[in-house]
Amino acid sequence: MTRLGMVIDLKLCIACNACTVACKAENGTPPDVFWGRVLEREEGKYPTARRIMIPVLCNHCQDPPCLRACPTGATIQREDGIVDVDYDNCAGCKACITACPYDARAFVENLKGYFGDSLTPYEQVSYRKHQKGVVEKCNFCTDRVHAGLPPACVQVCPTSCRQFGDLDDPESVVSRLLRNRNHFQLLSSLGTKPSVYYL
Amino acid sequence: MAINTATFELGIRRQKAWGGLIALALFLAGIGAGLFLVAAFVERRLAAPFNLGLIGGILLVGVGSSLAFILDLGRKDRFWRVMLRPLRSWISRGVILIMAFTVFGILYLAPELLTWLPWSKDRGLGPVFLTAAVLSACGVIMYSGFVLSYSPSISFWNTALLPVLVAVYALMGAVGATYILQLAGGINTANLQSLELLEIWLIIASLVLVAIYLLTMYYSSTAAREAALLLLKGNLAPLFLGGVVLGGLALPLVLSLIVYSAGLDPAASSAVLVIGGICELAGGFAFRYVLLKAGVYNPLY
Repeated sequence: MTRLGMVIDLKLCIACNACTVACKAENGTPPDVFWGRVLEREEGKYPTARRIMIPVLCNHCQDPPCLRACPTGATIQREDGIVDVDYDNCAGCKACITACPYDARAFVENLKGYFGDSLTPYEQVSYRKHQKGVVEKCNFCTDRVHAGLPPACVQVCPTSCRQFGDLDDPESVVSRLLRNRNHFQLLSSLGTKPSVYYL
Repeated sequence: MAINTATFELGIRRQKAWGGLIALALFLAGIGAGLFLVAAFVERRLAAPFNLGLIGGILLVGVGSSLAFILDLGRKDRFWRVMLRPLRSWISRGVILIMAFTVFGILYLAPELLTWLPWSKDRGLGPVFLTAAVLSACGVIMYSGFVLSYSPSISFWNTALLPVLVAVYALMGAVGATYILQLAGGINTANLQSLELLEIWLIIASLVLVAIYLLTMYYSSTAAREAALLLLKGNLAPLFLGGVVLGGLALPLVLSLIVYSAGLDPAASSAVLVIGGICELAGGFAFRYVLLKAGVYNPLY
């Protein structure tokens, strides 16, 4: 069995948000819709102050609460572990947004462009994949994965802090990293079994 | 840990998906189903015909609550899809319960208008439809609590106490709505005033449950504590303390106690109870609203 997942090395992340921009460029998401982003917070006081940076995205949980909450069956879990949304089935009830502990889902209020009412040629093309009034989320760049490419956020990361692969394959990069390094998952106590790990 | 609103800031985040329309849908579902139960109780136990309460309950649930829910949907044309997953989603179960309640309630009342039907309220299939409507009304009342309490991401909602609290609130508001309808319908108040004691106990139960709920949440997780503080000290405090606790619980309790103990004449007691009922309904809506608005996600890190 294949279980796709991601490993993010927090020691390497510099919060450049290249992943955030790459995700928007790849998926053409409307303004205010972020499938992935880097959260930051400053902790402590000088001289021991430090900045925490955590790239977040859909955790593609093995036991996703969003799947249980979805009343229409629009949220689906594929055999390779990717949790996806079938926009044609989504009624926009937003139950999945309140159910997701990771705040990883976004409701598409409208399909306005970044530069006023008229859409750029890029937006005209990329918005064909989106629908107004539905909920969206990261799908690990399914199209790229099918083509044998890593997700856009992994590809673009200048520090290579993100690694993507099959968690069930003991020889994959992600499995080796998890075997050799201390790691954790976000809110693992909730029992969602995320497929995104942090080193 | 402070609650933040910035998209790129790590911390406790408030849910923004559900707001006023969902609060209205949950409120109307609870009040409508409760009103039907109270009206059925009045008819059966107090031998006072109360079609107004039965019809009002069905309309509030079947039309009011459904409409508010549909209006909140991003894709209103796909409303029918939300009932497709009753085995796993509480929203699906709720919509199915609402439909069942509406259908059985209408079938129970139908002989009042369509006299040629082969059953009446008391004979034939009438009692069966009433039983089915009462059971589905109980389900409608409970579902609005379960739809929130089954959300693991928001620990302020994720408690078994919430369905109980929501159910008690629904019944309390339903008795308040009954007083308003009795005045509007010109119904003899003599029988209905025996609901006063029930009302007093429901208000006391609500007050105690709200206090236990907040206390439990305050000593629960970080996010639940922040949510409780939002209600007690934050920007939701005026609405919660003023609208929910004082206006929606304390004032109706005082008014009910006055009517119960002072022995006012029927007209005066009816007027006082109606004022109390209006306060309860306003407080009931405010309760659902602040409950949703105080929903904050557990901190990621």
